[in-house]
Amino acid sequence: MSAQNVKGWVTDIVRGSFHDGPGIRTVVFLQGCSLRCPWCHNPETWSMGPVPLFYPERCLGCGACGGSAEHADRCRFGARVLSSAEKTVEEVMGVILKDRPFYSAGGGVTFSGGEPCCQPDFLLALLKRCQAEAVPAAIETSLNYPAELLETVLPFLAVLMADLKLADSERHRRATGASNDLILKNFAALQKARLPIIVRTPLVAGMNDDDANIEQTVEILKPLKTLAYYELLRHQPLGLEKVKALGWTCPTFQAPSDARVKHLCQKVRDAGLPLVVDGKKV
Amino acid sequence: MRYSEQIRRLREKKLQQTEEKRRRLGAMDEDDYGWVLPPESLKLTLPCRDANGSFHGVRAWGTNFRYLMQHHPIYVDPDDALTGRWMFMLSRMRANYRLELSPFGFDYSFLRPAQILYDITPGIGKDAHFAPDYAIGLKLGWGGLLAKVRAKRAETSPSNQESQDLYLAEEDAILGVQDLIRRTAQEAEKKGLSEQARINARLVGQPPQTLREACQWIAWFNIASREYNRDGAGGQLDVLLRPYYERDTAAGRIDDEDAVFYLFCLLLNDTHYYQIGGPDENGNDQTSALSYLILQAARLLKSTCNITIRVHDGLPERLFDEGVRCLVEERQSFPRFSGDEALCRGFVKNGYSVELARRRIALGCNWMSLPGLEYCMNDLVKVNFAKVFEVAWKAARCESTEALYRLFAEHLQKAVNVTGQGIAFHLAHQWENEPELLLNLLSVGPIETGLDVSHGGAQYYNLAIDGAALATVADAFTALEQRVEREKVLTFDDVFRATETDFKDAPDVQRLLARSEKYGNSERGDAWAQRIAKDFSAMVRAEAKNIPFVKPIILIPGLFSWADTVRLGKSVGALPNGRHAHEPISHGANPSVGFRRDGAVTAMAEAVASVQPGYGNTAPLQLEVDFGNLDNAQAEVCLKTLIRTHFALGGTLMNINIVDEQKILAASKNPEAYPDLIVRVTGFTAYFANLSPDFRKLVVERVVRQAS
Repeated sequence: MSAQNVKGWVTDIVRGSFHDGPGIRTVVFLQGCSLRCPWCHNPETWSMGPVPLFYPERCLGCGACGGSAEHADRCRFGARVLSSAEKTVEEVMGVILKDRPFYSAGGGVTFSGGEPCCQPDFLLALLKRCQAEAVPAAIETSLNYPAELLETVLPFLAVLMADLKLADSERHRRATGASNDLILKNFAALQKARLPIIVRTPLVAGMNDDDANIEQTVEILKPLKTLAYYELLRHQPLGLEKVKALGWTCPTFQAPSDARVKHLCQKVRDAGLPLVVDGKKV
Repeated sequence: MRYSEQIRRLREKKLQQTEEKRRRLGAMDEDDYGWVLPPESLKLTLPCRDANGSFHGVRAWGTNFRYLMQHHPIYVDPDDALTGRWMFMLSRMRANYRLELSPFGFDYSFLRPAQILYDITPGIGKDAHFAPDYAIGLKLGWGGLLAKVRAKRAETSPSNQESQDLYLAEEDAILGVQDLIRRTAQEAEKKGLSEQARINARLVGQPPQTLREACQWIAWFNIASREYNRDGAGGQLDVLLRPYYERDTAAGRIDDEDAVFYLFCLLLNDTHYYQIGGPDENGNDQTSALSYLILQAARLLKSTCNITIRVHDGLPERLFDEGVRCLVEERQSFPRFSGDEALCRGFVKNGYSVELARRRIALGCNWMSLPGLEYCMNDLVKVNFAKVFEVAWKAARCESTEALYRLFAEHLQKAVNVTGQGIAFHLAHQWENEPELLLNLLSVGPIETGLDVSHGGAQYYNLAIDGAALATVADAFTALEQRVEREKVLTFDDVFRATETDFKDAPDVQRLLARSEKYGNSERGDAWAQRIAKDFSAMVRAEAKNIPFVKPIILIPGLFSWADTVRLGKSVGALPNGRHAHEPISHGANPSVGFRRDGAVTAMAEAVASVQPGYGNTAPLQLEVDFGNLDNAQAEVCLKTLIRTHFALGGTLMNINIVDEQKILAASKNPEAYPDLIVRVTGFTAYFANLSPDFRKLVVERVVRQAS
């Protein structure tokens, strides 16, 4: 199979984003994730293949699907949908290239997820095509995979955005279902990287907003020579439509208080790291 | 800044005046304009009236305007560097006035059936909407203008009734304005405001000499012109005022703080459209220190403002940066940005030189004009594509989208024909219906020839016809093509029956059509929109030959709905894009609200750039951008890229709202809690709280991305 014909599962492609890296970006969301963060807004991406979603408010009761998720493809009203569609590299590139005129001033494409590295062949094929087309590429990643994979991907990236939810391995395992051993190894590997690195921690009250976690995280980040900034992102309790569409009960996680965030900010500043909170430089 | 306290008080007063307007008059779906309410007790009885309560005719306008000026309340504020505010609009003091349909003293009932069939906004009897050349007035002053008119009248044969009447009416207009300025000077003197008194006493007859006097002169012309017929076109402000600023600063009379304060007062006085930056006729950029001071003054307003920066290769990066920073930080929806390259490229296709094209500048909601040189009817004449489509849709059961398009094009041709006939009728009679007594004074030709600007007095006649509802119609074709022809899940009959009942018994058909591909999110949608825009342009261009006139006529197509999306929607039933009957049409050249799930501004910028009519008039991109928590510096980078790229793709004008979605949503629930929230409704800005519920809904829907 030629690189152009490599296929992968794509949950969404968003053009004209201002929020997923520098400049104006196209964001390609890929199916699959190796973590199970219970506060996740996009749990439909966890599975390695598409999962059915049901939005009852869009259903007209036409009966085409027979009330079954198996026949989501028969629904024309967007009530029953699959979380992702299989696309070729060329199909995805077709969308990415539409916004090429807008990628000046640091913009480009961001591969996100889920975890984009869960589909390594597809991701790599896309990154190669982006490089060939001179489209700057970034990934939003959990880094929860072997260092060899990261090494393969890195040469094709202009920016790397990585999440670090919890610095302690056991706490990470309890919260996300996986230890952070691979993640920390990758952070160590990134000490030698030449590209700008952005690291983000989604702050969830009672889960990872304690002093110890941020103090340990800061220690992990300090050796990163190309760290552009460290961003604290307050958890947004709203926007859980996809959780509901999976038929799951919405979790009740909250963001830390302003005072708590301010306190954590001071810790980061004390460590001398460039800091951003919810998109704004502090 | 040593004027901070005065500025604070002036801003507070402006808010009070705005709230008072809302309390007394209710909703206003227009620009704020900067006017203030007259005393409630004031009763005016215009001396000239027709039997039906309206008035028309050259002398009637002159007499009534002079009366209005002579009885106009005086406005003096010790905090203000300038005096005067406008309070009335003579054109709306006629019985049966409607914004979209002016009273007209000549019968065009022979055109009405076709105009109504296609919901044409004919522009017959509509006024202003072309640009004056303030340099003429700044050079001559009111006294010089009066002398010019009197001298020309003396040279003109007494038997030339048209010109004699025009000159007498022009004299009335000038004498009326002079009376108001003189009385204002006297009032200022009484209140001990010696500088205001001195300046106004001087400006009764003399041209301005200083920056403050020049600002006051412009303010008086704006007031007079607004009072006459709402004209709102300004000029290239940084060029007009530059000699005064440079002379004053060189002589040590003022410093930059003084200059900013005077400019602040001028911009507060009225929301006229001004351009800053951009090329002169030789292509050299016109930006000066004054351009930055104008922007600085505008930022102090915290109110409505209509300044446009002309973007071209030679524009200093600093002015572009500061303009974008103003937009992002102030969030007051200004400045706007226009794209020099596409505008010039288009205008020269009319046979004009590129030098002239560069002089055609952004001075209205959607429009460009050559100050003092052309008569345009900009933004006055509209063809409602949605209504034309509805006529075609109902005319025959169609067999294919191609057959339907042929029928649509036939009706569009008829609609353009009747629009052209309307323009011809307007040009034949407008001079004896409503002469442009104020704008004539600052035009090259009308006073020299004794002919009103609408009757051969102007140098050029580049008349605008705008199409509206592009996305609505393109989406209708796209939905039919997708659902009926490609997927075969509906038939034309299914859709026809459903639209006949406004989808009453067919909600599934409605939902399916509404979820179809659209202009802005699919190749087919874009192709339909481009085809409609291209065919419309060709029809408009060709129609010019059918308009008899004393000078060559050029018709220039544009795509713009102004704030008429609600009104134009009310005349149209349900359509095959899933739009319910009487809902608003799509806005300008923009894709429909909710055209993509991601609401991508890049897709919108690309789509609008692809449907430009291409002859020097615009298809503006109306953009609502919510940067959320993004750092301002990052937001500026993104916005600059967006603007530059849209213009590189062929865009002509960008009206941009930087919005906070949550704030707009909160304001829609309780508008009066947000008295200072400003939005760019279309080409103009308005206080959100002053808009009618229909318009507030429209703005909210545009801002809040709708999932399709």
